[in-house]
Amino acid sequence: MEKLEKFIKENRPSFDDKTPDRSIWIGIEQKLDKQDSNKIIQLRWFKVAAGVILILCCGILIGLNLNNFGSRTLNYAANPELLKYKDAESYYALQVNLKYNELKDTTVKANVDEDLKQLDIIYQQLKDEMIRSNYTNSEILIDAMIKNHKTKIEILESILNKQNQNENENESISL
Amino acid sequence: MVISLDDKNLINDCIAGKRDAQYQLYKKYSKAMFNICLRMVTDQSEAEDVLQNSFIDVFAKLKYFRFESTPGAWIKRIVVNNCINYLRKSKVEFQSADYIPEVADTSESDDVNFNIDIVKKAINVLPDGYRMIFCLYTMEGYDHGEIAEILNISESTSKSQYSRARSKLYEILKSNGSIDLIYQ
Repeated sequence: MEKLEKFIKENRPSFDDKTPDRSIWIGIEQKLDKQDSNKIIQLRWFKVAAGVILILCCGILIGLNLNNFGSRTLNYAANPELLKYKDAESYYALQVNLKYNELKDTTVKANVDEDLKQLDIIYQQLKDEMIRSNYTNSEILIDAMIKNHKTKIEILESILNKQNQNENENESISL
Repeated sequence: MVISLDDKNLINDCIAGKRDAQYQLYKKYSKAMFNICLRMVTDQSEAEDVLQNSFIDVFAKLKYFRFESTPGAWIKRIVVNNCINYLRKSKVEFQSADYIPEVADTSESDDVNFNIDIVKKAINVLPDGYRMIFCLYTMEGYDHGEIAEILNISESTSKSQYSRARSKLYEILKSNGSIDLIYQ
């Protein structure tokens, strides 16, 4: 080892002779305190956010349950008439859909939507009544339900007839 | 690597944010670290800033300390890195190994005697790049492989820079008469 390195190695502790000022620790402490308080604030915000999310989740769950309660579906297996009606129901729903899709005029469509919505509400009431009465009056209620479907179809058919007439007139004029 | 239970407890208390434990750790290492900062950075108030920021870093990073080295060596590495970052900001550049500066003849004699204060002052006036390597090698005890990694240079650059730093130091000692004085 060279002389310089040897000298430094032998006297190494003497080279560390300066002592840091007390103010340095005070500065460190202040920064640490600030960091800690930031962490506490962050934690508080985290708690608030967690609380809000919890409330939202509860709200959504309760909402979903209420919704399910309001639109309980029929148990078609409850009696043979209802089971027969199941096929009829899907047939009518299909008819309504097909005819509804034939509608062209948007203002007419909006009026029809309003009517169909009213009928839907009545239909739901019939369903609820069916469940509430534990399927005892099913014959009368099924009749009412079929009438409901038929009314929808009648409304749609009368509008479609008018629509077709108009189209024919337009065609004859353009001819 | 054997680390005492006291050190482990102290570090765990620091991680838990206990202020008195943090102060104990600071008290234990701050003096040695402050002298590293002073040697590397040279300016007193800049050295104080680097020391302060280094201990903030130490407390922030302590949870990642894996006990693979002594706490002292681990803290020292953070301090050294911060010193280098400070000096890099003031644009210290390393000359590549093939550049050979002209250094005055510094034939050494076994009769040369050194004095701590004079050597300290001479180190202090070395150019930043030379001083960094000189301190890391002789003062902090890193080998050239470690210095290469710390400074992101090649090992051969570290070696050549060290020998130039050393020659320069002799030159300074000679020019202020401290060697010749003793030599006579």
